[in-house]
Parts: sequence; structure tokens; C-alpha cells
Amino acid sequence: METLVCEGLCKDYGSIKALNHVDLSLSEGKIVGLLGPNGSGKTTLIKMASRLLVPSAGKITICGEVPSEKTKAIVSYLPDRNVLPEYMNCDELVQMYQDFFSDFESGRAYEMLGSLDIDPKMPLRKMSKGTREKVQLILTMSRRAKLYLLDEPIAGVDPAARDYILRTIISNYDENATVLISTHLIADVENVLDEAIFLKEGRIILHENADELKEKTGKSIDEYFREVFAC
Amino acid sequence: MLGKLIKYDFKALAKNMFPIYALMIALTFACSLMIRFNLERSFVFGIAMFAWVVSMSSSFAITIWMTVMRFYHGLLKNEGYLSFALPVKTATHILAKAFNALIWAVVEVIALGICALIFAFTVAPLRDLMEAFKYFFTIDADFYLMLLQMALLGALELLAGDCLFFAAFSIAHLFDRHQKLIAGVFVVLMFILRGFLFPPRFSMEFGPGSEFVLLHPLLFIIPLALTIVYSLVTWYILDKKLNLQ
Repeated sequence: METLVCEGLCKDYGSIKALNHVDLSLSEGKIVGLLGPNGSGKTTLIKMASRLLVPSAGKITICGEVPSEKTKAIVSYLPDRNVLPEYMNCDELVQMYQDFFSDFESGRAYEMLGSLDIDPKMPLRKMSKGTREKVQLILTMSRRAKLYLLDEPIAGVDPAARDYILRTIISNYDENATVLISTHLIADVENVLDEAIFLKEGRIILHENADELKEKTGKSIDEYFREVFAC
Repeated sequence: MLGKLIKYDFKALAKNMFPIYALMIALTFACSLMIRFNLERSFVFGIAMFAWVVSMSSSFAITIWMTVMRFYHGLLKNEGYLSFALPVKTATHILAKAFNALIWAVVEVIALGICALIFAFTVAPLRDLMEAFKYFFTIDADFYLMLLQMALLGALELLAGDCLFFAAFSIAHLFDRHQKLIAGVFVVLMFILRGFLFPPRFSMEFGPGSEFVLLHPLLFIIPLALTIVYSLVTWYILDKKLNLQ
């Protein structure tokens, strides 16, 4: 079954085309890398799937439904910035996620918080930026969602934490779920990817199986990306 | 979902609002005690009285502003990413914010009531208070009916005011820059337009047999209609034109 489908999807900001007739289809059970330089439209695409942006033209569907409160119940979204209220602590956030998302598993959240020695009683405003990002990821990955939209999950953290985050993603997503990871730190994620999508100036210029791409080009995805997007 | 949204919005505001009300009540108590013990001429009393007057007179404006800011930050700034990721309809988000504004207005009235009681019980002799208490039972029922109408009118006007701010911030959200300024300009324009279309007047009508006073129905209909119009504008922008960046 197709988890995410885009047909002729466009998003304009005035005269700037952030997404330009994107056609895309992602099937279930895959970890997909949405790769592209800054400003290529990665975040715009993810925001439209999360219904934080409305398309200028075209269509986007998640499990056959246009984005709505219905799809939000099956999509777990990690934004590219810190969006958790800083006056709350982890206990309150876990409670909040449990209140709103029927697929949220608080046990898993506490397990991950414990493994990172994060005090659930500490307000977010007292945590470092990196720790807040980890909390956000833990909450996102503690859901049993059908589609995970992870926007730059490793951009703001140190290399050691990146490994933890990737391990967290791999070990927590359901095998029938699809994970879409947007990043420009390709070397860090390429080993976990099943598919790679290259996005350039709002257009998809490549969508291939990750292993086949490596075999075909004889290069790592990171090396091939650098070649394609060389300035 | 509506109840859950109201709960989390209430908690978010409580962290800021309860300390303000606590300060207001503490200042009332301090001023009342100083009056009771004839310390009105002291410098400290002057300072405390000034702080009390400022806190009492600004508390209502602070309450409205805080509920409007909750809407702005909760839906249109970074927290909006989380709010709009929840499996909740846009209309439910707007309703939750509007209910929350009403709830906090009631909390504000309760806080003012507590201040009045503290003042009365500290300053006035008990005998006078008992007399005043008895007097309330002798007041005509018309007075309470009038009070009820005024409370309803106050609630509707407050709702219309809050929804005007919600619509203003939603419209400003369509612009890339100076959002607060644009929202402010829109609010002023809408107040001017309202004054032009519905000039303020306080008219009353007597009910059957002239037994009780009824406020003119238009006084209720206008804020109710405006609340609906502002809410529809807000809903349209947040649901059809949302552009969180």
C-alpha cells in the first residue's frame, strides 16, 4: 500500500517555486531519505504532508486521504525546530501526547528518557538545545504511526548523539510504517536508508533504491550527492 | 478533544496568570491592613497603594492580552507546529481558545471579588458588613435580572473582542513581516468600522407590564454576530491558508 503519494504538487511563495510539480509515491515499510541542499523544498514537502502548509496546486495523500485531522492521527511529525512548550516538563509532555495520540506508548517514551538520563521532572527551558531535540525525537518515535516525517532530525546534535538518534529511529519504527528523513547530512544516514530521493530547486531529480543507487554509481550516496549538487 | 485543548491552554496560562492574581490579592491585603491600622500616611502605603491601583486597573487588560498571546504563540508561532500536528479540527482549536478566554475572564472576576471581600472584611466593622449582607436580600429581583443581562452582555463583548484579536493575528499571519503591527492596525480599523456601523448606545426596553428592565436585543445580537464573523475569518485562514514558517 502507498503511504504517501504526491501528484503534481506545487508550492509557491510569491514568485518563488518551493515545490514544482512533484510526483512521488512511497510504499510502506521503507526508510526513505529526502536529500537536497538548503532551500531545495524538503521542509516544504514535509510540512504539506503534516498539513502545516497548503499546496498551491496538485494533490498530496496519506494512506489514501488528503491531509486532515484523520491523517494527523497516523502521522508522527518531527519539525526542524524546537516546538515543545518550554514551560512543560517531560512528564507533562508524555501525558499530553497520551491524551491526544491513541498510538502513543508512554512506556517506550520513559524507557528512552531513562536510557538518556533525562530527568522527566525537569522543565524543558532548563535543558540544553540538544537535550530538547532528543526529547522531541523520543516523543515522535514513541508513537506507533504509519508515517514518520522527520525533518532534519540530526542537524543540531553532536556526532555521538546522531548515532543514538539513528538507532532510536531504526529500533522504534514499526515494520509496516514508512519513515521519511529529510537531511543534508547524508553520510550519517545513508546506511539506514532503503530509498533515496534527491530534491533540487523544488523538483525530484532522483528517486531510487539506496543499494541499487550505490551499485549503479559505484559511489556512496554522499559522494554521488556531492557530485550531483556540486557548486 | 475540545476539553483536552482547554485543559492544556488553561494550564499554560495559569503559570503566568495565577502569580499576577496572587500579587493583586496580596497587595489588597497589605493595603487593607495599613488602612485598618491607620498607616495611610506612610511612604510604604503610598507605594503599595500605587501598585494596587495599577494591578487592579490593568488586570483585565492583562488577562485579555495573555489569552490573545496564547492564541498567537499556540497556533501561529513555533508551538503551532505541535498544535497543528494534533489530530484536532481547526474549528476545535479556535473554540478552545475562545472558551479559554471566557474561563479566564471568570477567574479574573473571581480574583476581583476576593480582593473586594478581603478589603471589606479587613477595613469595615463586622456590624456594617452584616447590614450590607442583609441589604442584598431586600433588593428587588429586577436588579438581579439586570445584573444577569449585564454579565451576559459582558461575556459576549469579551468574546467578540477576543475573536477580533484572533482574526487580526490570523490575517497578519498571511504577511511575512511586522505581523504584530499589522494585527494592531487591523484591530483599530475594525473598532472604527464597528463604531461607524453600530454606534454605541445604551437603550432599554420595559418588558410586559413594565415589571422588569430588558436591554435592547441588538446589544446582544451585534457582538454575537461579530464573534461569528471573526471566527469564520480565523477558521478560513487557519484551515485553508495556513502557512507556518
